[in-house]
Amino acid sequence: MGPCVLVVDDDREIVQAIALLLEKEGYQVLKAYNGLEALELAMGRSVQLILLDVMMPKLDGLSALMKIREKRNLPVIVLSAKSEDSDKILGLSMGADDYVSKPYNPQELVARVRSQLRRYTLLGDVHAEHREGEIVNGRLTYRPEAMELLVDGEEVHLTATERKIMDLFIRNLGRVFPAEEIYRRVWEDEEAYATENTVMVHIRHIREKIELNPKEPEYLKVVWGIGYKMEKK
Amino acid sequence: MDTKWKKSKGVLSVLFLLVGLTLTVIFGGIAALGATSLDVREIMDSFQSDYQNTQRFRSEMSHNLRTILEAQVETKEISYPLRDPNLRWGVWKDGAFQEGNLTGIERELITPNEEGYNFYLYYRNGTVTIWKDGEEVDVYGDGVYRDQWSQWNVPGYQNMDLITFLGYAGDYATAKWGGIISGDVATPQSSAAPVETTPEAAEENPWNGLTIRLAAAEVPIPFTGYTYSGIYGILDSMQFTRQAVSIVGGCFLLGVALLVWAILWRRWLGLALRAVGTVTGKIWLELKVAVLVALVFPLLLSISYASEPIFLAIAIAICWLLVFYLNDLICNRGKLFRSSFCGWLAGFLRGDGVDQPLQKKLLRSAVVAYVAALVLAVGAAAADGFLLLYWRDFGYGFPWVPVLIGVLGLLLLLLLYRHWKDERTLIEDLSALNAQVEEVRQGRRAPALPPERPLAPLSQAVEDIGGGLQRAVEERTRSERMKVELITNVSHDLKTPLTSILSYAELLREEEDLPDHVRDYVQILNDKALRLKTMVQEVFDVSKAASGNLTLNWKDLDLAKLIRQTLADQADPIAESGLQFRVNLPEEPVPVRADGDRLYRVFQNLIHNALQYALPGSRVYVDLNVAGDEAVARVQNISKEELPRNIDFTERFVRGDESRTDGGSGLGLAIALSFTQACGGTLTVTTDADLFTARVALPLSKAPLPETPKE
Repeated sequence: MGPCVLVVDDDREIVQAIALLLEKEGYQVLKAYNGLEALELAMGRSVQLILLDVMMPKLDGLSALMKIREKRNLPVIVLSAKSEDSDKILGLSMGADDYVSKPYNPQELVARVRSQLRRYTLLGDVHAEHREGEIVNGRLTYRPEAMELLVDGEEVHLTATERKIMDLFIRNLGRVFPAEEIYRRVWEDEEAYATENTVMVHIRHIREKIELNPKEPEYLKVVWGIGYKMEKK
Repeated sequence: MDTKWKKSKGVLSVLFLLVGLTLTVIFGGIAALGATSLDVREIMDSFQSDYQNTQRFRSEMSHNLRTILEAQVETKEISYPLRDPNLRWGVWKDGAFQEGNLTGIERELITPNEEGYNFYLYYRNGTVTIWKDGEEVDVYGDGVYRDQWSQWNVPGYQNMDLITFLGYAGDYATAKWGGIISGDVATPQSSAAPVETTPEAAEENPWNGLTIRLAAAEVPIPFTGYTYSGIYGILDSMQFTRQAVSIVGGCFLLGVALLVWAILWRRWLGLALRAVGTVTGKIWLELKVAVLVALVFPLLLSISYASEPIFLAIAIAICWLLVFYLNDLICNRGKLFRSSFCGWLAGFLRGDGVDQPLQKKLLRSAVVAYVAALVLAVGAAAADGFLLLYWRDFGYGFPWVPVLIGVLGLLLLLLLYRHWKDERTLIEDLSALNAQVEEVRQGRRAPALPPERPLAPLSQAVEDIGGGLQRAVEERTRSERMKVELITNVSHDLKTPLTSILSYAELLREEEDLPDHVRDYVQILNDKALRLKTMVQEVFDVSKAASGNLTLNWKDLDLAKLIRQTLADQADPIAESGLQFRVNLPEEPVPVRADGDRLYRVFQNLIHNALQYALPGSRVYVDLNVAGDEAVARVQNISKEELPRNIDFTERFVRGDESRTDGGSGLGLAIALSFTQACGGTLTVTTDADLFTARVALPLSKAPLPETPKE
């Protein structure tokens, strides 16, 4: 039996669809159709993750989230039709672990559930376990001496160049690097004609290995007109 | 502190200043006058607790003694002062009682220690001995009489014998008896002078062997019956002097105290005086002068009746007025003439308060006419006055003609004044209306003229026009906002069913034993649902940008790098398209200030547009130049379809092909336009035959790009 996920949405078809998607992946699914039902079910010990809609009757998602957070510390992914940055920031600040806007990509949703559950069940408290010298940034764990990268606790294979780029970014979280500098430091060569393209290609490859949705990256980001950076989580 | 108290403090301090000044001046004056007319010693004496210690009392006693002594020369009744009930006196000649106000037993009792009479004077043989409270008093001091310094004016000094003391009675006695007063006690001076003895000298000198006793009551009683008591009078006048001094001194001190208080409150006083100054500054100078003259004149006339209260009142009024005038002078120096009738008249004629050139011109031309009329009126009045004065000389009886002319002239002047006022009001209204129209033109609101003004209806109309304009603008803003809200709500409402469609399409796709054609159908469903998702998001974005609700994250960035990054980002679709990209970007940075994410969407959309609509195998040109203070980027491609003419490609939902069978939402260029504009730039699309050109111009940023860290 897989982990138990509580799916909450006032739209029954959506709940059904998510339930089917998750059950295919081997999860157990509990269903709720408003905030109050969600509260009741969330208190059960078996629930390990909640997928929570925001706009619901009786008790809205964010209020329910606050109530749940008083009692339980389990991963909560907020689902919402609002896709503005401000809505995202509000949801995360209310205690959500992740924010997915509707209409979501089903595969991406499943990937996010998996990622959150891995961090919750396998790693437990993310901050407690990691070893001396490890750099932890959200879902990423980096071991500098071995130049190993773990995503959700699983090692990811990077090529030599990708590893060098990752090393540069993860040691300088939040700092913006122009393509020329990345080129100079990784390739240890003066910049060539197609520097931007070269760097961008590698970054896209790394994204595919570490991001849940490479088209909307959360970690490796382009700062348009300036350079590239890794977001600090 | 609350303002009311501050205000009353100011009023009080002004009051203190005025009253204090008045009291000080008046009672100070009285005190000064009194000090010269009254003997200072008398004033000081009036505060003595014992009336016998006063100079008045001593003089009274000398006077009584003199009266008794004088009475000896000619037998006459001793004058009324000696009927004083507070005085006991007796005259003995050679031990025998002669006269006095003493009864039998009292003659025995009159001694230095008599009960109730603590002052006792004993005269014998030209010298005086005085007892007070039973003790003898040093009467003569060093024996020389000095007018100002000796306390007692009695005979017996070296330079004052009985003859000198008695004055004219003494002269008489000298003539009659040769200055011999008595055998044994003659004053040294008079005895030294040899005097011829007249035949009458044999007659006995009336002062020989004379003894006089005088006693004064310790506590004088008031008058009884007809008798006047000189001694009680002393007490009485002491009390009066005391009271007068107390009142004058007290009032003077009160005045000084009030002045000091006013000075202590000088902050409030200053504020209040300045406030008073602004008020008095508005009063015409002529009026002030007239009031002052009106007050000073009667004062000068009534100077002979200086004691009358009306005089005092006028003096006080002038005193106060002078304070205000002085204050006015200090507060409004240099502005005195402006707040005068002449100044007002000059301003009135000049047209102060009318600022528009047209009104000024109107006013000036009117002024000429009115001044001419005024001059004529003055001339006519002079002629009429002349006529009036000499009418009787011509012998025509009552001067009907000049009076009638005068009355008519006054009526005419009144009419002229009324007309002038109307003209002024009209010109002022014109000025106000002008200002109001200007306000409305600037898109602001200005209050209409009050209804009693002549141009009020016109002003109201202007006001209504302004209000209508504003309402129209508000209406438009509201409808625009409602449109955005509608689109936002619709896009949210579309997302929920879209979520279901995408989810179930995914579930279907994951079904394993589907026939191939069904799998194709599912794929189509999935693709179209995804396109719908993109379109919903784009509609939302473009409506938000169009309504100006976009939040921007401004940054200094390099536009050349941004385009390079965008091209690199789109490298895969570019490679797949089979189009050849000819990119010409400057090596050096092109600094602009913009929101990088939005600008990326602009170029992403332009490239996407080219990929979608360019003729397969043709070339796409991307270049960037700096022109003046602008950065100009161009994306050019050859359209695969024939481009329709006269179409604005940046309008929402506009596309080159009308059939709408391609994959675009028709929003790409609209989004590019909105985002470019939001970043302060312009996007123009031009077509030339099949050449499609999108031109993005952004203002160059003055700020240098942030230094990129280098090792």
